[in-house]
Amino acid sequence: MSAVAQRMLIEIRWHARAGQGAKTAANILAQAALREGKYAQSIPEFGPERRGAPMQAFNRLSDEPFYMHSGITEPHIVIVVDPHLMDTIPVTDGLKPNGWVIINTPLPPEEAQERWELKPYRVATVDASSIARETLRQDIPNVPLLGAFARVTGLLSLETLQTDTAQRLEKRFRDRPQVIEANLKALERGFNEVRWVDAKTVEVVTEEPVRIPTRGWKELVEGGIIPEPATSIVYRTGSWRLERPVFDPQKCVQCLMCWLVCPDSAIVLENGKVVGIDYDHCKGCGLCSLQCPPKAKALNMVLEAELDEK
Amino acid sequence: MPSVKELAQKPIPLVGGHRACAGCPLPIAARWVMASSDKPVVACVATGCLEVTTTIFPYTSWNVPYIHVAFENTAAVASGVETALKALKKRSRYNGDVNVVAFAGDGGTYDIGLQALSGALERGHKFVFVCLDNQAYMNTGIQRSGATPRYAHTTTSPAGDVLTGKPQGRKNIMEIVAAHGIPYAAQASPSHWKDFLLKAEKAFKADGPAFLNVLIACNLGWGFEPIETLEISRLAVETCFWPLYEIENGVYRINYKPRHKLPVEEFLKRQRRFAHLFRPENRHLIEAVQTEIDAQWEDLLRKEAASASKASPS
Repeated sequence: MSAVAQRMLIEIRWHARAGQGAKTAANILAQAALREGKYAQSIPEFGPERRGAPMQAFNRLSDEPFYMHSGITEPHIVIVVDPHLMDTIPVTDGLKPNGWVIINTPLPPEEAQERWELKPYRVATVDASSIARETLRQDIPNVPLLGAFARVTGLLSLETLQTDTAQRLEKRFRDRPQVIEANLKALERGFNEVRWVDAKTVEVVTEEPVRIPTRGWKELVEGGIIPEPATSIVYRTGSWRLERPVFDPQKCVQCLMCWLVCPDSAIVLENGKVVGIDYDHCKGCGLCSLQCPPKAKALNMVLEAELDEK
Repeated sequence: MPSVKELAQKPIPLVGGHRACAGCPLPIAARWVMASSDKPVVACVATGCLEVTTTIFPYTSWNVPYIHVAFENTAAVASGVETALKALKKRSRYNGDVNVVAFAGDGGTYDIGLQALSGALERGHKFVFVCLDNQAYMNTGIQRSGATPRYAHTTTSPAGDVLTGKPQGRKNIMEIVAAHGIPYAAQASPSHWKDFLLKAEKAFKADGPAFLNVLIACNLGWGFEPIETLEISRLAVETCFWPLYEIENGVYRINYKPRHKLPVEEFLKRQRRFAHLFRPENRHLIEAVQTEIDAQWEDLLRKEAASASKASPS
């Protein structure tokens, strides 16, 4: 099962949203690797983005010392903590053919491989969110994912991960041993419940990944001046959303309160009237739905996950 | 004050695509302030959440001329911009009419930016300084500031076995600013939009420096859900934790007096930064907070009554 070759530098990239615990998970992973006598790194990467924004964390594991400290662009293993990121972030960017994609999703691996076009990669899926909800009573999918990681890659043993998870939580939950117990259970269930499939094709996908255009130093304006106003509009923050406001024009009384309070200027007006929502920028905070007069109720929050199912 | 419908006709001064947390009131407050100006605005913005999230190179969310400055010199740079515009006018090289607005967080106002602010107020530049007060250094990870309220948990005043959150109270920045004898200083909250817009409009019309202290409820640093932002801000006003008042040429006016002043507990209990106060051994601290808030509110009422005689009969 240990299909990832040993005695080489293994690079792992986590994709999550800020606040989902990917940083902690990457930390536990590195600690556990150190305990097993490996050399390891754990690096979280946050932009200036805030809670809910997509973020990455990196791990390097090796049997020999290594000196690289950069971010990881060509990983062997990708772990996706939030399945919604599959549709918005090029998670397989730079992933080596036959590399692992480990996803938190209830979908069986065959279906995930099909749906997200992951044929060149080995795909493992585990319903880490459900496991977390059942064991920890909260949607913290990072711990079951660690179990799944240990199982499919064989890079770490379940026991070491359990020791490290327990140690990490010991100080904080010393009055509540049941929390530590629940985490160990979550880890074990992740280990046992993960399912996987092999790569279907090993050809490299040549299609250019979607990247936000950046400028080279030659095109920069002296002094770092940004000569045009309001350019951030090309940057889409819609992927941060867990819930979306749905607008019913029939019920709208055009009080414009939603427009007034929207932090992301995502209420679309035409001739001074609300006509809809700019889902490219709406982060789903829900302030608009709360400001909408109770008698009108023209804006209602719906879980993105429910819309996915439909 | 322009109506919301009129505001909707104006170009949006701060567009989407910025990376503030979902539900963060910073962009709301910045937009409302700038929309209240009757002239085009130039914005000078200190380091902080607003700057970092709206100007990620090579992008900007600002639809107005914008200059980013360091923590300590926002007011100095705003003074420079205002004076440069005057000098250009004198030489007939520019004849437009613009307002200068400075935005800084509580760190850039109460603490690091205080000397530059004091200097600018004393020199009497005509500009509006907006303090976006989220009551800690949120941008760098929730460190306590001079604006952090007593007993709030921050990463540098952690609640635990030794401390019960920040031991000290908040600086009274309104009094510090008002002591410079500026024409207009006011405290506002995004939960009360009419009051907010009126104050911003007055600030721009003031003959000299004006100061706005705006409450920015930080869902990350205070610990609540993004959708609760405006509700928490409203509770701050209803409990008199954050009174809405203004000081116009030395005359105090409380713009909103809650008919039934809510106990401060209602505000505290919705935020994780105060969660430790609700442990049985710390309950008495809530009473201490209530006593402090009551004293401050009484003090404010007295100041309003005392300065009423100074108010012009109009």
